Amino acid sequence: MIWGSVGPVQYLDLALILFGIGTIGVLTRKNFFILLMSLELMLNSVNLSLIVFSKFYGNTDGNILVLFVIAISASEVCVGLAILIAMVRIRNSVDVDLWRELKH
Amino acid sequence: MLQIIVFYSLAFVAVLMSGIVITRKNPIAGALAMVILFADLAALYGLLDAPAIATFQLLVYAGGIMVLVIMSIMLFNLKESELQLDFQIKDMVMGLAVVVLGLVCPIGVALFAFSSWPQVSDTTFGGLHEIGNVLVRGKWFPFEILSFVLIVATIGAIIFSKRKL
Repeated sequence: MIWGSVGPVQYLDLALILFGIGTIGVLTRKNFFILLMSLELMLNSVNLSLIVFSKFYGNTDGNILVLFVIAISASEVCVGLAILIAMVRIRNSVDVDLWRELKH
Repeated sequence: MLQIIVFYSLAFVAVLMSGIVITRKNPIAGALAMVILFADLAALYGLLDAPAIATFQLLVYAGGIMVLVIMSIMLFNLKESELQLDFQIKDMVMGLAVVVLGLVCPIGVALFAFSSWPQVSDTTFGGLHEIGNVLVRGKWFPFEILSFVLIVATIGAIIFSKRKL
């Protein structure tokens, strides 16, 4: 019975659904802030699956890896918002479709 | 039984809030939903015997990163034209189809085929003491590299936000 108990499969399904929603957000939205938050959502779902594996295999290394991912995503947001500020100075918009300096 | 109820309500709130994040036109609404989502995930980490990670999740994500994001949203003073809904329903349906067919279906089937999980019942697992032991005794080198990465990211952010790039 799938609803009867909470095991690793249920947690991993939740992480999978969150990752899918984050992927839809990254693929379809054009507002840079929403893009950045969808990215954070994907990172968080991977963190959740790491914690699940860490618990059900009884190994603390997964928790350590989640700590590292949290620090890396903090630095990612820091650099991303700085890039956003620089680009808004040039383009005066947060729409990522208008940022095509590297395309041509 | 209690664990089942708590898990499914937390999972429902998580999916609802992530849906709000990717569908609102105002980024402030998305950011506030994201704060709730982070607190919700912290509760899930607590349910999974990882109280230290739950604490760091609340401190760093809900407390640090989201405050930074909300402050930047308010800093920019977005125009009314930029707050239009910037996606069509067609795009959303296409994205949903791509994600379900390419990501959720294969991995979900693989998860249900994966039947044998080891069951570990260690009550002191995932506490701050254990994590500190592993971090300082075993994984000290990646930890130091991580501090270097954070310094480089800070310097990069300062350089990016200079007036003349």
